[in-house]
Amino acid sequence: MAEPDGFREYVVARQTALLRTAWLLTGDWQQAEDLVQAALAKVWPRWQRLTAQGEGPEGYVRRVIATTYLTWRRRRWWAERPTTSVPDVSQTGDVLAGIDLRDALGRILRQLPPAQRTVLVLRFYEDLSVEQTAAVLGCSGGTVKSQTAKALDKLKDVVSMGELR
Amino acid sequence: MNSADLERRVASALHDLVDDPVTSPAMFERVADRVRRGRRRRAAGAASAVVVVAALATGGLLLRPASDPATGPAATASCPDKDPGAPRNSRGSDSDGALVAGTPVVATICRYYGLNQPALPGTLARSAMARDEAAAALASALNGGHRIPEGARYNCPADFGASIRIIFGYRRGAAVTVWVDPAGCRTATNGMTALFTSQAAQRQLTNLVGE
Repeated sequence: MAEPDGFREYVVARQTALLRTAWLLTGDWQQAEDLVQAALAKVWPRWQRLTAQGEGPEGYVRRVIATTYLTWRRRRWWAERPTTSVPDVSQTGDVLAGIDLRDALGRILRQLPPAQRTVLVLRFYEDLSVEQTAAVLGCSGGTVKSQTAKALDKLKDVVSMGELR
Repeated sequence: MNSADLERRVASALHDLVDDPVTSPAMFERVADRVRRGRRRRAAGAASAVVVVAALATGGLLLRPASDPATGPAATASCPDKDPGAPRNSRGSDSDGALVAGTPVVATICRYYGLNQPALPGTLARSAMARDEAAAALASALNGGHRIPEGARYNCPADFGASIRIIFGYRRGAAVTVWVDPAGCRTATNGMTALFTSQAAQRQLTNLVGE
């Protein structure tokens, strides 16, 4: 299969952004790279049609990354061990507080169920609306809202302790 | 804190949470390689299905691979999900032969987790494929390692059990497997010849399957 026009340039230009999104989903750079590679390999055969239709590839790539991640999570054991309690968070206001909060947020994010984490990343990192997120995940807007509310509820304690640096 | 404020803070926190990734100049090549491998798997699956149907239709049991590995084109190997382990005689050289003979045209690299890593030891962590010049360069780099003196004993305290298995394929279909200890003594063996892994080989392996 010949290399689609513009695909290489897209990969070079967008790999950093795609890897960041994938890292937020997986919590691991190697898994993030694996996820981005797998998603782009799925996009490859549809690239000409995507670009011929005049729609940008970004939405489709994001959709493939999210759905591939969720599929992998259903099939693979990724060795995450959820804990029953939220990790303690420093409230001392010292110079390490930002680092503590950042670390705590990362840990809580990794403990979220995959669907909640995906919704959170799409809504607040990719800045998609409820409707756009629902379209990416192939679910209803109500599901996106309920998953978002559950995820935010788990994050609000750590986030309310201060702006992260 | 109201809902909008919470959402704004979460968005800000998520953006702050992500470090800059180390981007790979070979990302496109790896994607292209996945596409090629996917097509081969589909083709092999279709060929196997045809063979099965034909065998069932004739009432025979002539289930054979699509090509003869001894004479067919360079076969691409796949990585087992679990580390099959290195051969027993993997330390010390008892042969003057090269670690990787000749010029391979493809290398399948499988990296397996050791201890203290996010999955069970021996679980496949990552795989990659190198072709043509890249496969030959990896073979050359591995062959460039210093020979381990026969009977030598080394203390390798930082060996956490991670391993890399490399299956080199040749144009006529033969294969050579090399096992690499990516930490500790950093040795590589084909079961007969064992060498220390050169820094060039270590760099290439890190680029291909991480560390």
